Amino acid sequence: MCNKNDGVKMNIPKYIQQSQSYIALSNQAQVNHSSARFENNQWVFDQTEEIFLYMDNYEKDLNIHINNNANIKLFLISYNSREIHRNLNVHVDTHGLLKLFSNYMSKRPTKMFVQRDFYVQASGSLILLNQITYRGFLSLNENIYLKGETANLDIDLLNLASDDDQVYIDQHVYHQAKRTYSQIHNWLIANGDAKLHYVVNGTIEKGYEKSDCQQLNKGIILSDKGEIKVIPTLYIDEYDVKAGHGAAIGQIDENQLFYLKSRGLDEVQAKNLIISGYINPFITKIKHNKVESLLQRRVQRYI
Amino acid sequence: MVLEFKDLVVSVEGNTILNGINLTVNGGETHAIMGPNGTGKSTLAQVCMGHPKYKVASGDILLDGESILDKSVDERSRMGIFLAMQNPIEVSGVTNFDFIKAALQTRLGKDEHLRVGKFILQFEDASQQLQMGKGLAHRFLNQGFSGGEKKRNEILQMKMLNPRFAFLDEIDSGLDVDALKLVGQHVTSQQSDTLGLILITHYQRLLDYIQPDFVHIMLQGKIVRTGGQDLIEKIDQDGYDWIKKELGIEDESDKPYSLGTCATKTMV
Repeated sequence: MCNKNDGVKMNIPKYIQQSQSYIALSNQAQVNHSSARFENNQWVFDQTEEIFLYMDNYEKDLNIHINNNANIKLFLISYNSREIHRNLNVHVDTHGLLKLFSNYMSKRPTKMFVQRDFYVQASGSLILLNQITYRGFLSLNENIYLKGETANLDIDLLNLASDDDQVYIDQHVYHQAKRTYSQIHNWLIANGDAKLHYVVNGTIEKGYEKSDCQQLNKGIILSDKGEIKVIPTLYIDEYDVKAGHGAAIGQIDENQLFYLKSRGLDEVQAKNLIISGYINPFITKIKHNKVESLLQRRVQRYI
Repeated sequence: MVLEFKDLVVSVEGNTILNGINLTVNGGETHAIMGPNGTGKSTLAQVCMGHPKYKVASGDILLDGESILDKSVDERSRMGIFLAMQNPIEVSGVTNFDFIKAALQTRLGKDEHLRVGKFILQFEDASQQLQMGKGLAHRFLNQGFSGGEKKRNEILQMKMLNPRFAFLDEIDSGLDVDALKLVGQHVTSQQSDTLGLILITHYQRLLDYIQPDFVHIMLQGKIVRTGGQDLIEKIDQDGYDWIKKELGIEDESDKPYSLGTCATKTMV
């Protein structure tokens, strides 16, 4: 599990160490086994590559730059064992593509405050897969600025929470160029006393016609005391656009439960199957066997 | 093997739906329950399966002489009761394959394991026989299925789970002539000395393909007449009015009813 860099130990999970490319960061050290280079206080990516970005209680600001025509798939895995405040700034240049899978995890219930800002230039693509299975308190404030024509964004977020977990998420997409596209799909599950509060905003400013801003939020509450609140809002200052938003939150459908039970599955098995079906669309987008199986194992623990 | 309904009275939200049902189904027998809409036919099947919406006010349901009223839905299923539903439920993200595999696994003992290879062959075979198409295993459970596909999928599940008593609740609705024939043939092929079948239907057409041993007519939550093929023909020709007349049953919809108290009256 350990990797040494300048005499400083870092706990890097084995599956990451065994991957072809990875970067590992702690406050004391950084390990780079990838084609990325660190210059002017930012990580620069300009190839086609799949890279793990592992952060062990990392607290410094992290700046990422995806150069023109680069095609990068980043698996950001973050482990905390204490309260952490972190800023992430990401620039996607013209025709650049970043697929960023993020998983913020805590070894014990603790607090984490994350600020993430993304800037996407013309014809740049940003795909965010956010897995939130954070034990304790997580505040995530995420701003995405679509700055160039036909810049596009796709967010899928899966949030599983149980016990006393509290999650506060602010997502804001700013369409700041013509023909920009954004889609947010949040899948939320609350068990135990967990509280999930989401503010989901989309803004299309005047003059940025032919833009398209879509939001979809779905929530399942598995317990009596679990809580999911979603406020989806659209701020539209241009006529010639497409936009839509919605939120559907509730308990597991009783008819689905009855149907599955009528074939022999008990309450737990039936709920497991329904939940796994609910999150399957998210899992299938990950396209990494190990990361998928880790998530599936985690899901079982939450239910 | 025998499934018995004894003086069964069932209510939902305070309204009595079944009003003293007495019925005995032996293994190997096929029973058809017919009747107009809203007479409690589907309720009977749902209650036997253990749907939580329905409350058994009195009476009993016995499987091989033992009451199943205290059994949960899944326990009843594992005891061998099956309900092919009138409106099969869609479950997004769960594939047919995973669902049926999970259902079969619930029937195994602690040290038993499902032989996946054998299961796949059985599944593919059943799927082919019911003309469900090759991609069925990977399609989400009933999602995007046509009405006919949903019904055939219910029969496929019945074939795979091999129940002791199966209710087929309006399995003929939504089926075109060819699909009805196909479903009828497959249900018939499953008739055996051990399987008790209870067909719930409005029409004769399903019974052209599946020959019942007994035909029951349900009206107002009761089985009011039991017979054979002749009863089916009579219903097909004359509907249900003749029996209502014979028994002096008045339609609920024909009775005058109160619209309640006028709000302005209470204000005054």
